Amino acid sequence: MAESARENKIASMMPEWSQLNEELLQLISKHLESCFDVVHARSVCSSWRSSFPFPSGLLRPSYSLPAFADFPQESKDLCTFEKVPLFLFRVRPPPVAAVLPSEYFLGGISRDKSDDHIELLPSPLQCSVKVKIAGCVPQLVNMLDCQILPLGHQYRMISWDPQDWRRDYEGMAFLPLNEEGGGEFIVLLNYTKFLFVLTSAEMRWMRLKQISDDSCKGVVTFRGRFYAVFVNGDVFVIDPYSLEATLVMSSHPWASSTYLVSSGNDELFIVEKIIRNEVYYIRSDCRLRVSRLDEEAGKWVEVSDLGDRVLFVGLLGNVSCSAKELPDNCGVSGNSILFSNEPYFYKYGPITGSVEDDPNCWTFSRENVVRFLSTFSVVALQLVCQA
Amino acid sequence: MSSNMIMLKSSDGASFEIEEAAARKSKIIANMIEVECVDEDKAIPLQNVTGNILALVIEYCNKHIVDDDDDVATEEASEEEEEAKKKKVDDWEAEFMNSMSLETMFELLLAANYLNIKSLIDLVCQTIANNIKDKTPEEVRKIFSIENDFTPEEEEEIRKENAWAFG
Repeated sequence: MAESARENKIASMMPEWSQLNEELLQLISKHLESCFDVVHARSVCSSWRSSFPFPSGLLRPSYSLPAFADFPQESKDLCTFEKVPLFLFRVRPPPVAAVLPSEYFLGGISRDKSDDHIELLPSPLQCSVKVKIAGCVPQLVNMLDCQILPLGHQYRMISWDPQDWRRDYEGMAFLPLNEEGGGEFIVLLNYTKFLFVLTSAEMRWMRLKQISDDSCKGVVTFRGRFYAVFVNGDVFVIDPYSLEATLVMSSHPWASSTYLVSSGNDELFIVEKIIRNEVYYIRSDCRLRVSRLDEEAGKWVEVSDLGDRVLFVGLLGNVSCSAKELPDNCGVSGNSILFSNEPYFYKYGPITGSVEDDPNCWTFSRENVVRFLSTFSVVALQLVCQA
Repeated sequence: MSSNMIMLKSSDGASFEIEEAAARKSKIIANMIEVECVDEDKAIPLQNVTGNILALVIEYCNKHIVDDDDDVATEEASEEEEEAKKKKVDDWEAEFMNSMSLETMFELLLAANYLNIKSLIDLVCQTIANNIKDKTPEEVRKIFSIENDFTPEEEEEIRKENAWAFG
């Protein structure tokens, strides 16, 4: 091509990449998909450090709110919530051994403030993440050896006395109010099986008017509204402004355990586990029913396809990720569901073994075996090919 | 088909003839045409762009103006055709960027920015980003010949900042 001739003419000019203007550097940073690539770019030189904005997805803002353990007494003590960035790390196997077992880490990350950060990486500036699994020596994982999938955020209570009231704390949900800014927010708290709300304007906990006779099992946010699931399976949508609760209709009776899983602001799913009493000990007879929210109609619609999504249920909360960018043979594929401490993924298809009534449903797929190395503070999985 | 031709002149005095429609990809030139400061016989002087870079810019604009025309002509094109066309453009862009050095890319980015050609800025920025991703800061310095101007204390600070942990 003619380019090589053109190249020669200007080969003598050495461009000053560090002097590129801020506006263009910011444009380049927008084309970096992984936030850790941006962190690496910020570590190159001082001008890049000031021009590449720190990825907002890695910030971990915290909120100090009045303590609620003694409700209805108002407390002078404070409790702290943090917005924790969640990630799924898939450790890339070395090229020679491009087969299973594959390792995965799932959890919230923060800056490592401990002193025992082990100095093992060939490049001291590159990003690493420390994995501590109970009973093992802490492990330092080089982020460049991982495929990293962002899983959004989770709000967590940070300062608590576990002896005191943690057992009664069942999670919280957070919504910003007045999107235009101003930093106003509302928090919905599931504590002692009741729901409490607090707005940043009032900074006072209030008990939400009772919605259900049953206790609440979980709260999530989806498209700017709260959703609360109750022990009997009922799900209510709660408006953050009026605090009015509306039942989301379901066409069938609820199963014994129900879980809400949002996939960003795209879809809200409800996953129900159905264990047939008489044969509950046979694993293949443990099934799921999965429905998506039809927001307009205000009802649940059963689905047999989740697209590229993988739903993780009960693993530090319920999260969803897209498996689109994961390689084919890595053991995790789209359209599947993993429960904590269960050795197989659920997929939609015929039940292996005894085919009785409905032959197609969400049930165990035995392609891969999942081994949980840790489920506390970080979820560590090992996937072993079975077939 | 309108084939109004205009002349562009690079900073080092090279003249290029280009279809007006292609030249309009540059918001700066489009503006000049709007306010009629374009004399038909005179070339538009571009003080900040050298001839070899301007040649690349023109190659890019010509390629994309043809594609835009195609879009108008085949409005009812099927989805597959659309996809095939998009792939053709993507392939051309990949080849276009592949054939140039980082030095050229740097000049091309400044030129695209000066001429205000949004899609070309995006294309070059994406290619530069591809050279940054999945690399250590040290590797990026080497690729772009950037000197490490951090003090040892700053470097230590960054090292600490880049150490993450689960929990």
